[in-house]
Amino acid sequence: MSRTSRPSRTLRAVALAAAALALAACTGAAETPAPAADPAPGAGSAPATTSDAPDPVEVVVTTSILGDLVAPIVGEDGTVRVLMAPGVDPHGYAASAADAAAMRDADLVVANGLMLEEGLLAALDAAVADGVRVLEVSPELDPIPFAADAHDHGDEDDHAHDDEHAHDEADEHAHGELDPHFWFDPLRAATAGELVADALAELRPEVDWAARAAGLRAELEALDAELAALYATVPADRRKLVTNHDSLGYLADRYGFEIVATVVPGSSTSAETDPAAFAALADLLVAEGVDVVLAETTDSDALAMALAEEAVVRGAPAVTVVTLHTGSLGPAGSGAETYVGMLRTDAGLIVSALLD
Amino acid sequence: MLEVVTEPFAYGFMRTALAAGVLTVVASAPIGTWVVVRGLAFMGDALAHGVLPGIALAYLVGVDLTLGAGLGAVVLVAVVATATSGRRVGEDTGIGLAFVGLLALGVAIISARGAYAGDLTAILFGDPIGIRPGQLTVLVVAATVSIVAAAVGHRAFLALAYDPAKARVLGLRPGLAHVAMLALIALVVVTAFRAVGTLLVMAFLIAPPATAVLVVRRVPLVMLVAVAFGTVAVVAGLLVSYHAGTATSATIAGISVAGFFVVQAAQRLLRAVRPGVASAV
Repeated sequence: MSRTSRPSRTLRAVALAAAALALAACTGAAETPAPAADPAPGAGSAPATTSDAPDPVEVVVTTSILGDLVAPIVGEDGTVRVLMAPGVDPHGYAASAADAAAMRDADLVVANGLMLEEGLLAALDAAVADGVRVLEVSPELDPIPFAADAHDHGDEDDHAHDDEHAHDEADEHAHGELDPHFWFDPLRAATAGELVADALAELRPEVDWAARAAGLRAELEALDAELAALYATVPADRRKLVTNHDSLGYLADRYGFEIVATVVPGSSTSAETDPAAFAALADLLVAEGVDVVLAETTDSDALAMALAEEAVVRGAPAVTVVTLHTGSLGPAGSGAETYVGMLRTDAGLIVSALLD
Repeated sequence: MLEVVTEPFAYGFMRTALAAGVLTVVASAPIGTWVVVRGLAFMGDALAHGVLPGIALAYLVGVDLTLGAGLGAVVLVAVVATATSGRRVGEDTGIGLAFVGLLALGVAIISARGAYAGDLTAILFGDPIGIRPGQLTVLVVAATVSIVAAAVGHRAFLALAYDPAKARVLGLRPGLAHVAMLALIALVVVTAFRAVGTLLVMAFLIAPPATAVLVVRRVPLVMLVAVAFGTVAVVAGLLVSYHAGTATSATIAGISVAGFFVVQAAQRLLRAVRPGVASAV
C-alpha cells in the first residue's frame, strides 16, 4: 500500500483543490470592476477622428426578419451582422461566444424583445450589463396581447396569474403575455425602422438616418395597402385562421381575421398540447367550417397534419395544411428571402387556401 | 498564433465564463468522482431534470426558483427511496421512474400555463456567456461546500463504495453516507444549473471524473485530475465557441465528453505500441 497515511493524503488533495478554487475565484473576482477592461469598446465610444467620413456603425441584429428591416436603415454607413440564419427558430436559438463577442464590439444591438429570443435572454442581459447599447423594438411598438385566448382547455381560470406575484428576475422581462411577432403588421415594422434610426442618430447625428426610415415607411405602407387589398378578397365567413402557435396575432389584428385556435397552446414552440384539447380543437374546426391549418417552417408540421386528419375524421370535408414563413426569412427560392417577400408569399398562400 | 487564445479572453464576458466554468468543474469534480465510482450518473441526470415540477410550481407561486429546485430534489430522492424500499426494484429503475414521473409532471404544469413555457426555459437554463459576475459567488459557495463535504465524508464514502459491510461494522453508517452523497449531488446540480445550465452541470459531473479514472486510481487523485481535464474542456470549449460560432454550453460539454474518448484511444494506442506500460497510480 502507500506510505502516507489516509488523512494526510486527503488533506493534500483538499489543499490542492482549494488552491484551484482560489485561482478560479480570483479570475472571477477580477470581473467585478466596470467593463472598461474590454479591448474593443463598442457602445458608441467612437475614437475622435480627423477625417470627415463618419466611422461605419456596427450593428448586430438577432433575427433574420429584423435584419432585413435594419439593413436598409444602416445602408452604406455601417455593417449589419445577423445572428440567426434564415430558417432558424428564434425561440430556440442559443448564442455562441462569437455572438457574444459581436455584441460587445457592436455600436448597437437590435433585438426583438418580449421573450421572442428565449435562448438569447441571458446573453443579451449580460451585454446590457457590460454597457452595450441594446434596442428591444417590440415593447415600443404598441404590442397586443396574444390572440388565441380561445384555447379550448377545460378549465379557464389560469388568467389570474401575473400581477399577483413578484418574480425575481422575471420582472425584468415582460412575462410573456404580450405577443412579440409584430412583423406581420407592416406599419409596426416601419415604426421599428424609425426606432432604429433614432438610436443610430444618437450615435452618428451627422447621418440622415431618418430619411432612410421614411423611405422604408413609404415602401411598407404601399405593401400594407397591397396586402389589405389581397386579404379583402376573402369572404367574411371564411376569415378564420387556425395556426400552429400564436404567431399570427398581428396579421389577424391588422387585416381583420379571427384566430380561432392554435394547435400548440401559447407562444413558444416548446409548449405541448394534450389529447382533450386536441380533440376539442378538431371539433372546433368542423363547427367553424375551417378547412385550412397554417403550419410554419420553423416547427414540425406533424401536429398540424394530425389535426387536419382528425378534423376530417370528425366530419370536415378535406382540410389542407399550408406552411408559412413566420419566425424567420426563408432560403433562396422560397419567396421569403426578404421581409417584403415573406409577407407577400404568406399572404398569397393564406388567401388561395381560404378561397378554394 | 497566440492571439487565437489571447484575443477571445480579452473580452470580460469570456473571462467571466471561464471563471464560471472552472468553478463549476471544481464544484462537480469531488462529487462527480463518487458518481462515476458508484454508478450514480443516472441520478445526476434525474436531478437535473426531475426538479422541473418544483421549479414550475415555485414560479407559479412566486417563490425563489432555486428553493423550488431544492424542494424538487428532496421529492425526487424521496420518490427513489420509496420505489426501491421493497428491494424488488433496483436503484437504477427507481431513479428512472422518479425521473420520468417528475419530468412528466413538470411538462404538464408548464403546458397548462401555455404562454409561460418560454419564461420558464429562459429562467431555468443558464448560459455561461450570460453570467453576471455576481452569480460567481453562488458558484464559489457551491465549490467550497463540495470540497469540504467531500473531504469530511471521504472515509465514509470510500467505505460505502468499496466495502459497505465493513463500513457498517466500523460505524461509518453507509445508509446515511448514501443519502449524504445524493444530497451533495443535488446541491451541486441545483446551485450550478441556474448559472451554467443543466447540460454543462451534467457533463462536468460525469465526463472529467470518468476521464480521470482512466489514468489514475486513487480517489483523491481522480478528483484533482478531473478538475484538470474539466478546465481544459472549458478553455477549449470557449475558444471553439468563439472562433467557430458554436453554441457555448454544448461545445464545452461536447469537448469534455470527447476528451474521454481521446484519452481512452491514446491509452490503447500507447499500450499497443509499448506493451507493458502500466497506467499511472
